[in-house]
Amino acid sequence: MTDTTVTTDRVLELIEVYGAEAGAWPEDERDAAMAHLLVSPDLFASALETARALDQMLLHEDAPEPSPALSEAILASAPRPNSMHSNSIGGVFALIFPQGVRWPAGAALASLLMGLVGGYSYASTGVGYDQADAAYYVAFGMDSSDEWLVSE
Amino acid sequence: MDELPERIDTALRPEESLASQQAISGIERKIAALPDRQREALSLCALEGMSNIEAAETMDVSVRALESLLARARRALRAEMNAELAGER
Repeated sequence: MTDTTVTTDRVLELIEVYGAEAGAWPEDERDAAMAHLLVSPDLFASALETARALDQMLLHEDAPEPSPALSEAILASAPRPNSMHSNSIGGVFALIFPQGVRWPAGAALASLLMGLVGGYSYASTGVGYDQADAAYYVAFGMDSSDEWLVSE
Repeated sequence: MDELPERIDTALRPEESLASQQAISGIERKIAALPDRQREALSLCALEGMSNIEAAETMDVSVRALESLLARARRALRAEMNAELAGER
């Protein structure tokens, strides 16, 4: 909502509180204050000049460290991420990573799990080294690798 | 042969650069010296660009109280700057 009843005192107050830059003034009062200022700019010239000097200094200033209490208040008011328990995939992730996925530790654990599952599957269904060798030697009419070596 | 136009160096001269750096360093000290609540209000609104409503909610104060903190912070900084300028003269 736009405030159309801004007085001279309020415009001076806005300059005093928020500085000379109209973009920093409260949005709901900005247009009315600008219009009021443009009607008689001389009334505000001195206040604007004084505020502008400080604005220039603040432009070069990095934000100082907030106090611990303020940091906590900001973190407490921040929106929470969606819960990973809301669907079945999230449920599985939550089971595997109860503290949440932490990269790269999460990626390393996932890789380890995939390696173990893959390795176990191959070992349980694939042909072992000895069996494959034996089949090879039989195919060439030999009983073992000893005979293979002798024949060479 | 035409003469090349004179190039104007717009960079700050060493003494101007030093004065600018000193002024910036000075404002940092002045902000750090402000009372906590005034510094927080100034930091949220003037430095981090929060709206007055957001900053007031973050600090758990009314917008009027936030404006009072901001006005006092800016007045204190201006007074410090003016005192510094007066001392240099």
